[in-house]
Amino acid sequence: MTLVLGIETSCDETSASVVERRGAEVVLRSLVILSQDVHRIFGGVVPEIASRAHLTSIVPMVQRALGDAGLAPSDMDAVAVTHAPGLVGALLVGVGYAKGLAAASGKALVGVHHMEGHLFATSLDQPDAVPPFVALLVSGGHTMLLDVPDWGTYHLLGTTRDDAAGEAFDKVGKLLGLPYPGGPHVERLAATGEPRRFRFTRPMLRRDQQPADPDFYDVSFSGLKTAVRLAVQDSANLADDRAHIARGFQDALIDTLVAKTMRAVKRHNRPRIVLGGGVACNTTLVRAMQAAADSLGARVFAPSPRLATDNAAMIARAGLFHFERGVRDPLDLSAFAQRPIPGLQPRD
Amino acid sequence: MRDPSRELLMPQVADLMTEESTDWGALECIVVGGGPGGFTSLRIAGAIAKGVATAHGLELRAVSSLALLAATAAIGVGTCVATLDAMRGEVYAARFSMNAEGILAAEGIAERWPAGTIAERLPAGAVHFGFGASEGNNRVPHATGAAVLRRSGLAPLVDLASWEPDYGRLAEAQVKWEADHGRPLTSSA
Repeated sequence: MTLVLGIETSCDETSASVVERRGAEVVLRSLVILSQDVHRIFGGVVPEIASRAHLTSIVPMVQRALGDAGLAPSDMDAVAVTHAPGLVGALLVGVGYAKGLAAASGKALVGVHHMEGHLFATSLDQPDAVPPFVALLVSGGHTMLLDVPDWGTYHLLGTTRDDAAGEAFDKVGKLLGLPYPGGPHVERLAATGEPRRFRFTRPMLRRDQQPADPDFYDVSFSGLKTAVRLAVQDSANLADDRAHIARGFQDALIDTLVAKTMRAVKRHNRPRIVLGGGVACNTTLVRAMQAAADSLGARVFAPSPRLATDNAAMIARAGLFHFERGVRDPLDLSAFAQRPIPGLQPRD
Repeated sequence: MRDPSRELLMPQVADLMTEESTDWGALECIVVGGGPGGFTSLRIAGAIAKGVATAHGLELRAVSSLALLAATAAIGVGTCVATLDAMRGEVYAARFSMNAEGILAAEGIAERWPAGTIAERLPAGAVHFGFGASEGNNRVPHATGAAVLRRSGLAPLVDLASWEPDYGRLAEAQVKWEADHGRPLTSSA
């Protein structure tokens, strides 16, 4: 039995979790997530305010995660903490706290890459979501398409050249006068829109693209966002058009993500597609992905909402993986805004 | 210059515990610098202190960075003004006195002064320590001052969960929001 406490503070969620290795199984013993509502007021995350909030939230979150699991810090084998990528000031709160806790309790310290955590997240409630698979990680800060032949080996296929998928949802939500974060609101609004009223070009998606082309897997959403802005500006009756614009935007974004993902599934002959990140909560995306995957005989694994958004369970799970491989980080562990996922292979 | 790829406070704390052959669980409390000061620096210290305190259910005590500076300077019997760089041409300043028993007392509350006005604001007979002080007196806070503050009753017990440093300033976004809206930002705003 191995117990790992996970801590996540990379953006505006303070989260703590305990996972346990029990034979071949990995069990989620507890997970608590505190979302900082104050950022709704600003229409986006304010790093200094997020960092301050983490410092006043981290102790109650960790104590509750340990309490829910019926455990004490001394029961842990390791403390895993997100140390990249993210808001450095926010990350440093989690890293500092984890280091103090690990050092004073004589436990191992394991720094975890946030995006690797997302790769592990779905496996916590769907044990079949394991390699080999193609992964699509879509959140407010990232859009990555990866081939994962095994845990710890990651081939980056494509990424966004500008806005992340979730960022595009947030910005379009703002253009449409919706609250922050925009994703859930745009999806709800789009559900009432007609698909043909506003048809936007599918960005960076052409039939003649070849695997060796640099844009074969890459995506770009800034042009789509501009097209939405122009549609909003040109609308003679925005109150009537909002839902149709939302539908047109969402269809274009989802069609692009699905098409690029299917290219990866075909080319790498993977039987599974694992989704991760907050945009994986978008049920329209998940349904469209599964419909396309059916034709290739592949299965889609989408995380439950609490494991899709930023959470400490995925950090504890990835930390467990590294701890079992002997990783122990030193007490000078720091935080980084950007850093490659460990095990990431460069593009061909 | 600080190497951003390494965070050095925690290794220093761990090394100190090893040098002193002290078990973490044998500590009575953790005393942390409570600001004002650099936002990120204060949070790093605060987060480490909270982590150590959580591990063994230790008390957390917070000390003013200005009081720590005065205690570090070992001012002797008399009065001093301690100053720290507040950036943007300002300093954080506070007045302290020490009696014959070495007990330090705060004389009023910390203020923010234009850096160029320290000399004219210095009370008669007071010694200036810290940012902008003469060579030898231009000291910085040091953890060794914590014992003086504890003895002087200037290291109050704080709530481990909710405590945060005195940052000295609000976040810029909050300042702007409050200026735009003409009222303080609250959680229900």
